[in-house]
Amino acid sequence: MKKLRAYYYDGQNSGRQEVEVHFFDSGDVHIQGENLALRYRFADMRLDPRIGNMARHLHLPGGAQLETADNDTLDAVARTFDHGIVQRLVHTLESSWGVALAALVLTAIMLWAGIEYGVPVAAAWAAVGIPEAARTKIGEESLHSLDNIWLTRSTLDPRLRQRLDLRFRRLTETLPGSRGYRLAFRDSSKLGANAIALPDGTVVITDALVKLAGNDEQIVAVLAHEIGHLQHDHGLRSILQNSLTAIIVAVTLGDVTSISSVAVTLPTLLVEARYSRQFEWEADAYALELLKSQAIPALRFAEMLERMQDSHRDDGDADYFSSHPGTQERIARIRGQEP
Amino acid sequence: MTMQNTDFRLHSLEFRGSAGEFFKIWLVNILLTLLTLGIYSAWAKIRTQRYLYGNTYLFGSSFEYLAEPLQILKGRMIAAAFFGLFILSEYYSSILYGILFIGVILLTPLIIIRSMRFNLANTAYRNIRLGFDGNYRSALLVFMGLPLLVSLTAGLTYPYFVNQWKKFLIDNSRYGTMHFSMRAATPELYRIYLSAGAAFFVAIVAFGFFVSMVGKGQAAAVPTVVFGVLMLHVLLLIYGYMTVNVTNLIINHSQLHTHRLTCNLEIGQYCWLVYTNVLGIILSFGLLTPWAIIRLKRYKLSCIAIQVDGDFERFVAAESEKIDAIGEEFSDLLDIDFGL
Repeated sequence: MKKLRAYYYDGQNSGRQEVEVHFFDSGDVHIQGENLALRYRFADMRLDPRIGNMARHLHLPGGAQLETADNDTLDAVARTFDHGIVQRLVHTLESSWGVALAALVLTAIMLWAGIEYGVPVAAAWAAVGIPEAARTKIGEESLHSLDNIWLTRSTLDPRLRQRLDLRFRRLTETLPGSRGYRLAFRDSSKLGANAIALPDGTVVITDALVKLAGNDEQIVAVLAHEIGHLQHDHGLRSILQNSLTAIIVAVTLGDVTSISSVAVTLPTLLVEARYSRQFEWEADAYALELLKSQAIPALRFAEMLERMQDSHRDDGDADYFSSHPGTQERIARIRGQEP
Repeated sequence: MTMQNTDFRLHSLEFRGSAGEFFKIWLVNILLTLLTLGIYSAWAKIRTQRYLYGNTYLFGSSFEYLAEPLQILKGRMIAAAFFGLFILSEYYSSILYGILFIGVILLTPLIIIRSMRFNLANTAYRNIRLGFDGNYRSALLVFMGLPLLVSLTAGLTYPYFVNQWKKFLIDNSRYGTMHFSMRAATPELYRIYLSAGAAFFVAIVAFGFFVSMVGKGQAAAVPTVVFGVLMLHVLLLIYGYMTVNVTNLIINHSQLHTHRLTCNLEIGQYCWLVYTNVLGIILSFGLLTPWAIIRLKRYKLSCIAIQVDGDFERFVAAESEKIDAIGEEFSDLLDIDFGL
């Protein structure tokens, strides 16, 4: 026989009574209050799962309930009657610092592995499954919204555009999957010297970039970098990777409320920045290979990056390049490739 | 023997949870959620809520969170499927996207009502459930009509909107059969928002002036950053001033039947807590999140009290109803904050 003290609530009104509860080995339960005497079978009652050391409720048939913080006695009773094994297991996990430490390590490993390998692999796999029509649609929509916000009509000399277009086609004609690749010229006072690769194979370059270049080969180097993004399908993969990351972070810290929304946004941004850096390296490596096959020295690429870095620094609104602190490092690495 | 106490004292809420205990629960929740690819998150939510509710005490009795994991899981799946469709449609079909977008807007009042109803119906104290009776038409007026008015009047009616919004939520809430009610507080809200707005304006002008003083270039980088950080602190103070005063005001204007509610949050203490919480969470890579939740909760609840008007023993239960969790999970995903 086990006994404990509890509050009794009848479920009809907010009154409260102190009672003593006796659990008999036969499964009978007696509840004894000042002017209350109730009898139940334990099998007919429902016990809340234990969480930490907080008070729990024992729900009685007919809607009344008992509240008690005597968790150890309740657990001993529940064990006698073999009640709620899974929930007890979860509680056991939650009550040990050793398990907490192990959970911490395991969680950290899973998050790291997921971000380092899981998300990129899953995104690359999903990107393959996305039909051509969807890519075209995404590309068109992206260009459309870029046109609305950032870009204006190009004012470059048509002959210059034709010449660059020809170089672009010569650069891409032998590449696998390059049928939909095309070069688009735009002016942009806000983006400055810039180039963007869209998932449908469109490469946008700004007038400022063309004017900034000292020669055609420097422009070709930037185009080669953007073609690297296309060949590796970075556009779609980054959409997919960033969505997956956002889902993982939301699920991990999902039940966290307003005070720590910083804590949810910040890691997502950091992971996204990391992915984008990885993509830049990948596109650089690809560009160097492509330039080599065209007998263009890698130096042209480094020169162009330096010019772009300087131009954005002078602009003052150096948002693009200041968010890529790796530019200096990229230049050094490209220069390192020079024989 | 039921105590027939005649009591006119102020009884405050009390939070008895501990950061250490909650940390372990939080961590196991995350681990099991990751291991089950997110499915456990419904159970995780239940355990978290039960822990937070169950450690909230008033007159020595604790609150109860009664929602079931499968309800949450179902609601979550429906909401997630809808948002998946919504995001995909953005790329595939602008027509479907447009339809869904308008759908979300029209559904928002419904989502708010259902979410409130779910949360309150699943909250019990002394074995009596809370409840929410707001209807769609009034919600549409408050959450769609008034925001329209606010944008038409360039924000000048915002305090009135806040008054109506809080009033709608509180007036339609009940404990058993006893109703909560709120006295209008529009003039006081105007005073709070106007002073906060003025402070914000002064801060922005000061910042603009400072930036134009130091100019651009390398030399200006350090002072600009220092002043920027200072500005963040000023903004936090303004935010704290607003949150604390609005919360205090709304609760002090509210009552449960004839029992008055009071709230006396202090700006300094509240800002300090939020500030150290954010700092702690960032510096610990998120590990101090449970600690942050617990200490803010403990402080907030300790500031809320009920002034009993005679007898708190005779609140009567109402018929209970079953409500699904779809609205609640939608509002979770939409990150709607009712600010109560």
